[in-house]
Amino acid sequence: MEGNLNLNAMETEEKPLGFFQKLIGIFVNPKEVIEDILSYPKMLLPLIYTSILIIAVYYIRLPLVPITNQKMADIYLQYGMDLSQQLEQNNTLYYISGLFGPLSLLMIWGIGGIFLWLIAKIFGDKSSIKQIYSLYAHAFMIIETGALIAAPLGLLLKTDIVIFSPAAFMPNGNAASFLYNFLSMFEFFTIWGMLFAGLGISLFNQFSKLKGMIIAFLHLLLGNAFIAFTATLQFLMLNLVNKNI
Amino acid sequence: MNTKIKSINNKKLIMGIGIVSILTIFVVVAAINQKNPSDSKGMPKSGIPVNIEEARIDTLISKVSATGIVEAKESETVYVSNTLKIEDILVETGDTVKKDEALVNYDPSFKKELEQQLKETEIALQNADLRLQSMTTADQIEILNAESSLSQAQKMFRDTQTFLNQIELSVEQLKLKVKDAEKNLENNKILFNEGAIAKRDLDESNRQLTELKNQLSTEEMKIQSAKLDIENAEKQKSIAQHNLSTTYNKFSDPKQEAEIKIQKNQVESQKMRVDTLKEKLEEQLLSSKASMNGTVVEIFAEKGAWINQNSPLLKISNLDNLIIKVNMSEYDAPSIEKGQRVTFKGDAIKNALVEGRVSHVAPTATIQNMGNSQEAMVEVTIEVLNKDSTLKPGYTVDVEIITAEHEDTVVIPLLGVVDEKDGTKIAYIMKDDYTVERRVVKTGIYSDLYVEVTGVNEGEKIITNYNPNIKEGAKVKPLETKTQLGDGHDKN
Repeated sequence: MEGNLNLNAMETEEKPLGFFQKLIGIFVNPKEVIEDILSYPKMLLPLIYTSILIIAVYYIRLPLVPITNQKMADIYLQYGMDLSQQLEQNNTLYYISGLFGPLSLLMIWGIGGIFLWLIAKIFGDKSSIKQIYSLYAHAFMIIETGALIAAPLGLLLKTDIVIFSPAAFMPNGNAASFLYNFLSMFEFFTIWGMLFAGLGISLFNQFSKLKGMIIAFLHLLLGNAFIAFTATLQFLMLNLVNKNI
Repeated sequence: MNTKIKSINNKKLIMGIGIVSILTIFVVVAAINQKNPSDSKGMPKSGIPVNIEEARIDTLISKVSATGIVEAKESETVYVSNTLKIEDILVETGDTVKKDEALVNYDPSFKKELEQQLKETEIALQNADLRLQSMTTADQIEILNAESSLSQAQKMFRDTQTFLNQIELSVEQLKLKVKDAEKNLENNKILFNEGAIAKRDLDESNRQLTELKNQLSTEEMKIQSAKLDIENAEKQKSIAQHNLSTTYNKFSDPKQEAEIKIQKNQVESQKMRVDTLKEKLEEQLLSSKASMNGTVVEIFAEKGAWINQNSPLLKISNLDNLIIKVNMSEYDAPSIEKGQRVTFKGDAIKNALVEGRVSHVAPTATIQNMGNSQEAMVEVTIEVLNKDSTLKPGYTVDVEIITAEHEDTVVIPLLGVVDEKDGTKIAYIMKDDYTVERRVVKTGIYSDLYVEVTGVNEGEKIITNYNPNIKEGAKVKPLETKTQLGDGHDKN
């Protein structure tokens, strides 16, 4: 199966694209990059690039941490829990935890990749898991590049919200609400990244673009819903406890 | 080829511009939202997030809500007293009828039969009555005979008494004569012994005495005989008196008395039968007529059908006077009093203003099943004041009983009052420096969402989402401030 998919690439004997070619290509000529991924499903350099960007974005946004902490402290106060001091005391930990960003990237990439592969399989995908993982890693390059663009803007505007998401339209968004978290994750570059992934799946399998997009966006919807639910679960539990009291 | 490349480049350029534009919009929106105007007024960036609503001077109406069913105040069901066949129903539902107006015609055969029975029973009653009279009233001749006998007996008694008196008088006279004769004899004996008179004169005196004594003895015997006659006359008088009394009052005869009693019972029985038959006729007449002025709201029978005894025939209601009965819980009932104003809501009323007044509050509560639990409910009757309302009996309406109405009073949201364990009521007020003031307040009447308070001034900012972290002096951050009227406010 995989052999068939790689046959065209072998026959053409084109040279693989360089990293920087791909970095520019994913934004301006995604089809060329996807064809390259089909032939040469690499993922190391995209993951390294994304990891570097994650660390960079983290430290750029570090001055915004007190804003986020204050918001969280305010939310916890509503449940009668004063966490402001604990959140302030942990400042040193924030500097260190930025270095663990790549680990969370690998985890999300690992789980999200297999999840995308499974959804694609349901729709009749014939590509290899390696090709999907490579495609997913390249999509991360778009997402994290967008985060790099947004980070200084957030700093400039002194806001911790996800600027290129519908959250920007919610000035009093409640970080404890599922809807706010869910919408926050529909960030412009994330959608772009998933458009790239959808296009890739359609080209890998000669699906229609619509089918590829459906697979990618199903992944995005379910993934975002799961993450938003996980993020707000503690508040849901606190609400239940308060109601019972 | 060049044209194609140029076209692709143009397309990419447009897409690029589009992307940049979208990103710019996001940035602008985020920037605008970040410039929250309240920041410039000194609102703290941190603090316990609180919802604020200002205390205000307003009219507060305390209401109690319930759901009830509309009923006619005056309603009567016409029942049939006997099993009858309906020949014709003269009205239809919705018809207005006046008291005593004919509603139905029954099969006349039953009435005729009833009238026949009544006549027969009346005749039987007359016969029984006559027989009783004959048993209890004495015959004139019998009375005259008895009275005559008594008169004769009395006369005989009187005559015998007179005769006795005469004899007794005669005896007394004879006794005097005997005494005189004895004296005369004694004198003559002395005179004879002295030789003054002859022996013949002495013997004559002796003979006269003996003759007088014999007469006295005869008269005394007559007295005895007369006394016996008087005794007999007394007995005959008593017998005559008894006979007359028996003739006058035949009850004195035990046999006759029992027969009279039986006859009397028969008369009573016949009278009762007559009354029953008359009542039946009357009831039949009444059950065919309207018992009150009103509207026929329900007909339970059909033309030509037989209707059983004591079955409802039709229902008449006075639709000009409607009432609504509602059940109030024991929690709400104490605040409800006769005369309180009531407003109604319901599908049938729509937006029309229909008002009522509490006309009766039941003196006792009844236990009603509410799912798995039981609750004591008090029945409250509400009179509908609008005679021209669209309400009809059977409609379900939501009623709001206005239990109190205070004008120009300070009101705050119910959520702004915290009950302490000892019953003290506390309002937490956000001061101008965004710190909290804990203040003891007194509450007055309640509406659904608002409460009347004393101890708070108009315009003060009341915290409406209290949590235990909100204490005196705590710093808070208002999320939103309400100054608009809430649901609990009503101004009619």
